[in-house]
Formats: sequence, C-alpha cells, structure tokens
Amino acid sequence: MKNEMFMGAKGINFINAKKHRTSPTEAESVLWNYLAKNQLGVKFRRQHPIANFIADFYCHAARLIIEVDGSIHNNSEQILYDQERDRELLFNGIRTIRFTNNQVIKQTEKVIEKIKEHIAIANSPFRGQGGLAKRIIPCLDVKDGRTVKGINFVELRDAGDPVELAIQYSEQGADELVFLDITATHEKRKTLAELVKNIARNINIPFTIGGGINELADADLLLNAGADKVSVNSAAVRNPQLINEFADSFGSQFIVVAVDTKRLNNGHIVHLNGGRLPTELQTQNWIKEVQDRGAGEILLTSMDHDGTKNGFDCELLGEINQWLTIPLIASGGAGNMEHFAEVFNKTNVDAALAASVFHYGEILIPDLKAELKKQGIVVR
Amino acid sequence: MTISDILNSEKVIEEIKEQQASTNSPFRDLGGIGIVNYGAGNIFSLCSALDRLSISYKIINTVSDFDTCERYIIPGVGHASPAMKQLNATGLIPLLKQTSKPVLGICLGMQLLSTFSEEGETPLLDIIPIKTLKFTDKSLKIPHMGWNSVNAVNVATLFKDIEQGSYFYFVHSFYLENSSEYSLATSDYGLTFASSIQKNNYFGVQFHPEKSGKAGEQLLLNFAKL
Repeated sequence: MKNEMFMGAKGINFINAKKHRTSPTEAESVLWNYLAKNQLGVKFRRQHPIANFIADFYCHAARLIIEVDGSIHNNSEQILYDQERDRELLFNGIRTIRFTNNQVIKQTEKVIEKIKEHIAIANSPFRGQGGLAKRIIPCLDVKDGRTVKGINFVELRDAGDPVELAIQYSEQGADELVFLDITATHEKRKTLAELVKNIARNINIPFTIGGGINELADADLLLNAGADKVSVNSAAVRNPQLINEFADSFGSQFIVVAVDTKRLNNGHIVHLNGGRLPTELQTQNWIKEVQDRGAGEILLTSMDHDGTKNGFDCELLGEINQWLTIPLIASGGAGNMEHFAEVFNKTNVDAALAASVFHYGEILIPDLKAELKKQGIVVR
Repeated sequence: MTISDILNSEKVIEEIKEQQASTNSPFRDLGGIGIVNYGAGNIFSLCSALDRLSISYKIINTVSDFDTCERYIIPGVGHASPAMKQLNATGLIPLLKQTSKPVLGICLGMQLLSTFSEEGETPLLDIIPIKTLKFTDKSLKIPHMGWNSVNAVNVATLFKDIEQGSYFYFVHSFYLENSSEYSLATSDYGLTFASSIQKNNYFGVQFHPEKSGKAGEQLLLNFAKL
C-alpha cells in the first residue's frame, strides 16, 4: 500500500517535499484552503513524493494529481519535462490536471469545480467519461423528404418539414440529431441528398443519416452533402464487410451501426425490419464484431422497450457498455425525464435517443437538461 | 480518397462557387477568408456556417488564389500523413508559413500546425513547436467524440464573448499536448490537452466550430474580425 502510494519515491524527494511544504506559493495556499481536511470528500496530500517526482497535491483515492504551475513552466524545456512526467504517471493510472497560478487565484471556483469533476469520474464504478457531456438525441423519421409521426410543436409553421424541425431542436439544445429515411425506393435517394444539404446549411450541431444505405456511394453522397455520420443497420447484417469498407474509406468516426435487439428464448437476438425479422445473431456478439470491424458508434434500440414508454433497457445497455470501447447510444423506451437520468446513472451510456416524447412535446429538451444537471449528470 | 470522393467534393465546390457568384459574395462582407482546399474532408458544413454568419470566403486551390484573402482557414479530417501529402501538393505550404495574416486550423488542420504527429509518425508544418499525440488512456472511449467543455487561457481573441467552460463538439483520436506557452484553451479527456492553440497570427481549434452551436458560431465570427 505504502509503496503504491509513493511509487518507490527516493529519500531525497521526501526531504525536498518537506521543504516545499513549509514554503507554499500564494496559489498553493489558496488551493489548500479548499482541499485540506477532506473538504471535497477525499483526502489530499500536499507536496507528495511519487516515483521520481513531487506532486503539488495528490489524492490517492482518486489517483489524481493537481499541479499549480508558475511562470517557470512556460520554459520549453520545463514543458517537455512536464509532458513526459504526466504521461509516465498516466501510464501508471494516475492523472495529472494542471492549473496556472492565475487560474487558481482568479478563478478559484472554476478550478474547484474541475477538481470535483475529476474526483467524481474517478469514483464512478463505470468507465470514465473524461469531461464529455451526455448527449440527448431526437430522432426524426423521414419519408419522401417529409417527417412522419405526429409532430406537436406550436411554433412550427410546417410540422412536416425536417429542416424547420431540425432548427427547432438545435435551438432547444439538442446535442445531435438522427434522421432515419424510410423512403423505400432507390430513385428517391437523390432527394435525400438534397435534404441533407438543406439540413447542413441550416443547423449548427452534428447529425446522422440512416436508412437504405447499402454501399459506399450512398454513404459518400450523404457525407459530402454535409452529414456528420451515416448509420447502417440491415445492410451491415447482410454484408458485415461493408463496415470495414466504410471505416477504411471515411474513418470510423463517420460510421454508426444501428442494432435492433429483441429478447428471444432467453437470449438477445438482432432483429431486422423494425423488429419483425429475427436473425441468427446474438446481440452482444454482433456488437463486438462490428466494433472490431471498425464501427465508430453503436445505436442500440431495444424492440422490447420501444414504444412502451417504460424506460430504457438498462440491464442490456449496462452489460454492453462495460466492455464496449466506442460510444453507445441508448434507444427505445423513453417515457419521462427520469428514464433518461436512469439510463445515464445505471449504464453510463454516452447518449440517449428518443422520438415521440420529444415530437409530441411531452419532454422539452431544456427541461430535460435542467433535470439531468440537477441530478449531477454532465450535460451541455 | 476514392474517385467518387474527389468527384463529389469537386461537385460541392462547384455548387459553392455558384452560390457565391449568385450572391456576388466574395469579400462583400466581413471575413475575406480563404479556405485551403486540399481534399482532406468535407468543407460543406464549414461553408454553410460561414454563409449563415454572412462571413465572406472563397476556396483556395492553388498559389494564385492565395494573395487576395485577408485570413485563412485550414480545415481537415482524416489521417495526418495523406493530409500532409495532399496539402504539400497544393504548393501552398510556403505561403502559409510566411503569411502574417490570421490563420485558423480546424481539427486535423490544427494538428498540421504542430511539429509532428504520432499518427503515422508524420512530420508536420512545424509552425507551432508542440506535438500531436495519441490518446492512450484505455479507460476512455476513443475517438474522443461529443461535446466537451473548453477553458480559454486568453479570452481576448478567438474566445471573446464566449463563456468559460462552454461546450464544443469534438471528434478526434489524436490530441495536441498542453503547453503553457501555446495553449489558447484546454479541455480534459483523461488528461489535459490543448483544445485551442496560438502562436502569433496562427490559431488552431481541435473541435469543430461549425458544429458547435452558438459558441462555435461566435468563435468563427471572432476569427473573421481578428
């Protein structure tokens, strides 16, 4: 234990550390006023010898170092040294966050907030989210260039216009949008590209296009029209190699694989055609495979929960998110704001997607974000 | 790049040019931005954002397009090594390195300003003497994708009128090392990295301002006024 806490620091470091402790800088004193005596719920030590270094402040419970840098750290040699040191420690599972003297003295509250965030991340039973906000994603179904499903926004002049709806959602604070094109015929796809361009011209948040994307040329057309990502579902099941081709051509970050899952004989099975057609694929195996093939994100819809408004499938989402190394979007089952809080708290998914609760105005995005924030979930 | 990539991006650029011609736009308004077009990624969203903000711009393909602009944006997504090759092929590198006008690199375009990238062990423009490194923290998902908060070190230039801690949209697997000399803003993802850098007239942002809501639009406006 002792060894781990100091990582084999040598005697000379302990002597130097003791010296530093008796003559703290102004900024260090300011910060110590907030960190001392477990005020943030965890124990911090001042001038803590660790490996070949001395940390300004160290919290062993959170494996977190806080450095308060004076102007000497502007020196390029010192910068290199700091970088090297931070990386070496990170390699051993210890994170370093750095603030300048100025930040500590002039923006003390912000600095403390940041430190609290890092402690919270370290204490989470799940994988860290590293400062990323949880994303809220409205999903719009589009057919022949028009949104389908009832839309109930009083402000809208034309509730069927995907562009106007997209603007509305981005102004409300949606983090991202997903458009699913359910137009059946191939000749209509050119219309879709025009629509995508119109969306890109008008909104200032990222968006994904899915539906009927079967080959490289389809994806290419949509990405060039301004879509940030394309989503593939049944085409990937029919031809898994497609994911590799997409990832190689565009980069993983452009490829979302949408998976519709349904319980069948006590297992989770991938389904096609909106849950009507079971495949041979076990859901977890399939998600592992698409991750290995280069997918950049998973959009997982539980067909058992979809439309029930009884909440997301936290059990399955949590299991998958334990091992998944790419972002996971939860979908299916959102009925109220508590369901969103629950899926983030229980499963730590990166994003939650819903359609009708947003479209019918049952949940307003600003209200949802305020509620999540109140519950300590990081949102934009 | 596939052939259809090239065809498509040419098509898009044609359309952008038509749009500009129809509005008589080049440099009628604020901005005078030259967008360096070297084929690394799609610029439609960036152009759309500038259009919405009435910031004037033109697409720079070759050396002869360079001089008339008042400031430059180097966009880019993709892999550092082919991007450097493609940028080199435009012949614009010496001009970009000599200019005293404001230059803004976005995402990969920002990384290109640094000395070196661990992505393909690629030597870069070396305008700002820091390195581009790979996220190695296994406890975090890679790429770093989504909205992360950005803390500006200096709020007088690019981050003017942008609230501290504002969220911006990121998509990347490599990051610029934090440096007290050149970091204009920092963010955290397992470690503190430079989400924006500056040296003299050269600026870079790791996030996509064109996809970052109101904060991103403010940043583009700020750049157009530098």
